[in-house]
Formats: sequence, structure tokens, C-alpha cells
Amino acid sequence: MNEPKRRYMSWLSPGRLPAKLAAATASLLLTVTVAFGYGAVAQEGGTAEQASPGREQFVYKAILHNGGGSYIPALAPPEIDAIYIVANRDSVLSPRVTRVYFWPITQEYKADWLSADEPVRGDLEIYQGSTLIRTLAQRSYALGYPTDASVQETFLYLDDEALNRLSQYQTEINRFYQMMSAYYRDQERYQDELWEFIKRPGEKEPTAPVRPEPPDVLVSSVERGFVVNLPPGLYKIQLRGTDGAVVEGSSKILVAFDGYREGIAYEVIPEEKWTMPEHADGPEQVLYFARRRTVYVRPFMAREYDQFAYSRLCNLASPLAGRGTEGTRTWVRLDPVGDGFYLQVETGGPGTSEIKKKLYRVKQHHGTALGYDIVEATPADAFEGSPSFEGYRIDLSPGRHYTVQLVSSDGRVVPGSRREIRGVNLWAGPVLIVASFTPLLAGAFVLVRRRSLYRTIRHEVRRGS
Amino acid sequence: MPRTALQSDVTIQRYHTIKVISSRGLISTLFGPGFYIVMCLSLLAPSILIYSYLGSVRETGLASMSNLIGTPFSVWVSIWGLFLSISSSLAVSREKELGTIEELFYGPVGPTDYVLARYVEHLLVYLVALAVSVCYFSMVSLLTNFSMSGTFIPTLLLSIFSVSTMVAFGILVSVVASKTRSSLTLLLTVALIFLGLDLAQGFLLGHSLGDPVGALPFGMSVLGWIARLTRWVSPFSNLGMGMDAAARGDIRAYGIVLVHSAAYSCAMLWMAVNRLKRKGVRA
Repeated sequence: MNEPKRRYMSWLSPGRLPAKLAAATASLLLTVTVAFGYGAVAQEGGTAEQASPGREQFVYKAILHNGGGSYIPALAPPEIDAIYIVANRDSVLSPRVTRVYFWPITQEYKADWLSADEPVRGDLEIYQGSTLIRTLAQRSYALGYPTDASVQETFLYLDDEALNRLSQYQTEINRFYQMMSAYYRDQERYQDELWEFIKRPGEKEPTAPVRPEPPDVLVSSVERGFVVNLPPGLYKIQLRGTDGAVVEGSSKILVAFDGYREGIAYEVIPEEKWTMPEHADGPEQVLYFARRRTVYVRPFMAREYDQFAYSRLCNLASPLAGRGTEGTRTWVRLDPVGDGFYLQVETGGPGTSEIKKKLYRVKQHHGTALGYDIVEATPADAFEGSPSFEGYRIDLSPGRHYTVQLVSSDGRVVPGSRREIRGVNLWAGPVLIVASFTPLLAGAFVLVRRRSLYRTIRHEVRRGS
Repeated sequence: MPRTALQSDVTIQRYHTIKVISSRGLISTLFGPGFYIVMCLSLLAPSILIYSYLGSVRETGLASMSNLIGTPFSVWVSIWGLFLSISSSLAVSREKELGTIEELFYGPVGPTDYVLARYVEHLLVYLVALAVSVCYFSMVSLLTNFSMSGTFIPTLLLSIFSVSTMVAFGILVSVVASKTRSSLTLLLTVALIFLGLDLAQGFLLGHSLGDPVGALPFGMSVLGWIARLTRWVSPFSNLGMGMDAAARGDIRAYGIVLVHSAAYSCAMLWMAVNRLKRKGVRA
């Protein structure tokens, strides 16, 4: 065997393995430290980047479906090489040229749309591997936002519908403005009439004018972009300009990902701290409580996604988003569950109780001391504004075990909606710690017994000999 | 004597040898203090964890948590896995150093019988400990009212496979290392690397991801990649992977972990036997 090979083989021999393993551990630690250091330096680089003024670049202005009923506005500048979308849902990629800058406070790229916002013409080519699977043309689109704040849905209107909706909205909003002008005039007249009525109470009481309602849905301006709807997979996209060449900076990886499981996520509002709810998103989550309490449960549609992919979807312009969460899963709360369901509560005993969804209002205490009460909202107190939240009220007794599940009005249990709520016994902690020492007692007994047995045998052997 | 009858005799003798060595080892462990000390420590660690969970519920009044029995149980399994891998490694390397194995090999005991006997002995010790743990965790669930979820029974089965890989790994290390001290250092170093990686990743994942600060996300990425690479090599990661699969109700992934653990144990034992056959038993 030649010298280098022999030396190499001797290094591999087991005789020095501990030393070698220590060296390997040190190398591993060094790698991790260098990686952390690189991360810090890279971040400093990002911070330095914001010093340079934003320059005009090709970007994709994206409207990404969140998997539920909403859309997330996003930006894909050249520095972001992969766009994540929910599979089999419409998302929009609109090619633009704008000024891009890095905002170090939130560690993300931002676009200065007011200084530059130029649409780029061309077709979007989608490749799977090296095969061109689709070529998309740009379409008109507009977004619709419900004016009722409790509705979290967003609507995407495409092609003629986008134009029609916008035109309809403009007509409605113009009419609304006219009605508001009339309302203010009527309100002024009403104030005068009311003043006259106060001065001469014998006359007929004037009636207050009714405030007009705004349009149900606010529609954005119509823009043009590519509507992307793909099955789960890894794709490559690029924009082919009108001159037949690929637009610089338009090539990106497109990841279409799907959810793993669907279910119901619960937001649980404790009565004594209603602004700090607990979340039981996955079916494996159990709610534990210690004392007698009242909670309000709000169910949401939920889907389990890859945590990294979903973080990238929600924070596309942030290069750090999702880092370190590769290979992990997360439950994402989507839209609140609509009407037509009740909450079935089993308490371990015979029978179950059915709880209906109700509107609740949080009423602040008067005076300087902090405090509030949660009361059921009734039509009589509608003048106080909209209710604070809608949910199912459950009164929990300590030490009890509850099982809740959502049931539709036709009696079907909603899959993935079952959760346990358990009252814990706080006194058990010290008992368990003391109980952990029991094996030592057992061990001492075994050793003493063994020794006495050994003595007996030795004694009998001596006697026999 | 016909060939099949001879083979049958050899099998019976091998079975008998394994039974004798492993049962003696089991009795010796059960009558020694180590078993009870480790049992105490392995119950104390989950008890402290459960105590902290109860404290958390007391402080917050209402807490949404998952696997409050499963996580302490995985701590219990890790302690026993580490103890049994060290114990198996020390048992073999000490006998190797004292020359006991050499003497055995002059008799009717072969490398396969010996390695299998040591492996079975430590698995039997684990099964005894597991029986105690089932009583303990049932008591925990009863006293605290913590949910013993449906994944607890699959986790029990998984723990046997997981400990099996650790024991097999310990035996291989003792066969490879020349001295008892080397074997212990080697085993502890490997355990520290793999368990350290798991713990570091778990710790970093526990940080808020919505607001990534400093170099943390990069470190998390690097640790994530290393952990993913070592996942199938580490004898300590099967339990976590299997528990995740059981919690998701992913029977296929759970089955893969079981098969992987079984294959891993077989490979380790095969390598140990082969090493003993090729290199002999002299330290």
C-alpha cells in the first residue's frame, strides 16, 4: 500500500475513533458557527442595501390566494427567485417595472408604486422540467373587498366581470355620494326642525333622515396580469416580451403547494381576557383549564400546510421568511365558519348539550378602574354599534372533561372539529415528583432481599460443609 | 445424522444459548442498583416536565397544548435508550477487555449468539421498564386529567423499535472500539451530536418565526438541513419521526419508521457480528 493511502486508512482505523469523532464534532460546530456568522453578515448586507436608492426593476406584482377566501398582495422582485402559490386556486401575477428598495426595519423588499408603475407586455411561459406546459396571456382583473369588516372574504373578478363590477361599483358609489349629500342636507334641515320643535313642543315631532348604506363590495381598479392556476408541483416561469425575447429578471421558480389535511380550528376567548384568545388549531390540540371559567369559542375553517411554503406565500418579499421551518407543518386558520352549525358539548355523563352561536358585546365598566362585562348583544342595544364578536359560550367546571364538536343543522358532525377541553388537577404535580422516587425504594428492597438471600445461602453452604 | 436434523439441533442450541445469556443478564440488571436509579431519573424528568405544564395552566388559566403525555414519555424513552445503549456497549466491551467473550467463543457460543443474546437481554430490560412506565403514565393521566391521546399506544410500540436501534448501535460501537473507555467516549460523542442537533433545532423552532432576528434564520436553515441529513442515520431520531407520523395519523410514514428502525437494528447487529467474525474479540 502506498504511503498516502496507508496514512488515510490508519486515520480510519477504530483505534483513534473518539479523537476523530471529537474532531468531527468540532468541524460540525464550526460549520454551524460559520453559517450563523454568514447569516449575520448577509443581514448586514441587506441593511447596507437600503442605503442605495431604489432603482427601476422588473417585478411581479402578485395577488396570491391564501387557500381560504382571501387574497394576499405580494411583490416578487429580482432578488426573490421563487414564488409560492396555493395549488388549484387562481392567483395573479402582474408584470411591472417599478422602483424597488429594501426596508431594513421589516427586512423586506418594497415597491415605490407612485414613482414608477409601468406594465410590461408579453406572455407568461410555464415550464415543468424542460417542457413548456402553458403559455398564458394577460387578463383583466379587479379585487372586491366587502365593506362589512366582519366578512374576511376577498373576491377576484376576471375579464368582463372585472370591468362590469367596476362600472357597477362606480355607479353605486356615485349614487351613494349623491345620497350622502342629500342626507347631510336632510340632517341640517332636521336639526332646524328639531330646534323649532323644542321651542314649540306642541307641533308634530320631526323624523330623522336615514343614513344611506355604502355599496356592499368595494371594487379596486382594473389591472392586467396572468391568472395562474396549477396543480401541485415545481414549475419555472418566464415572461416572453412582444419582441420575442425573454424579459430580463422575469425567470422564476413557481412552487404550487397543496394542503395536507382540512379541519376546524378554534379560537377560544377566555371571559377574563377577551383580547388574548387561545388557539386550538389542530385536532391534536387539547384545551386545559384550571379554575371555573367561561369561554367563547369561534370556529374557523383550517388547512394544514407546509410551514415554509406558507410563510413564503404570506411574506414573499421578505428573504428571511420561513427560514428554518423547512419540512415542518402548520395549521392555517382561514375563514370563520358560517351559520347553520351548532356546538355539541359532551361532558362525560349521559346526554349532550347543544350550544347555538350568538352575538356578544364587550361593555367597558364606567369609572377609572379597568374592567368589562361580556353580554349577549340584543337588537335593543344596536345603537351601541356592532357586536364585539360572535361565538359559542361554554361554562367550564373544574376537574371536568368536555368534548366539543361542530354539528351542522342536519345533524352531521363536521370532520376535524372534535376537541377535548380538560380541567387539570393542579395538586398532582408534587405528588408525581414524590412518586418518581418509588423505584429507589423498590431498588433498596431488592438489594436488601438479595443480600439476605446471599447470606442465607452462604450460611447453609458453610453448615453443609 | 441427516443435515436438516443437524440444522435443527444447531438452531435449538443457539436459541438455548441466547436464552441463557440474555435471561442471566436480565436478572443481573434487575437485581442491580442501576435499573432502579435510571428508573427513578427517567420518571423524575417527565414529572418535572408535567409539573411545569401544570404550572403553565395555573398561570395562564387556559392553555391549548398537545401531547402532554407523549412528550414526557419521549423524554422517558430517550433516557432509557441512552442508558441501554451505554449499558449494552459497556457490557460487551468490558467482557471483550476481560477476555470473557474469548472464553465463551471457545465453547458452544458463536459471535451471532453472543451479539443476539446481548441485544435480547437489553430489549427485555426495556420491556420490563416499559411495563412500569405504562403504569406511571396511566397514573399521570388519571391524577392530572391530561389527555392520553390515541397516539400513546402506537408510541409505545414505536419506542420498542427505537430503543432497539439504540441498543444495536451501542453493541456495534463496543465491538468497533478497542477499549471500554473508547467505546463509551465514542457512544457519548455520537449521542451528543445527534441529540444536540435535535435539541438545537427544536429550541430554534420554538422561537418566534414571524419576526426573524439576526442570524437566527440562517442558523435554523443550516441546522434544519443537517438534521434532515442525519435523520435516517441517527439512532435517536426514529422516535420523533414516528411520533410526528402517529400524531398526523399518517400510517404509511409510521410504518416506514418502524421498518427503518427494524432494518437499522438488523444492519447494526449484522455489522457487529461480521466485525467479531473477521477481527476476533481481542481488545
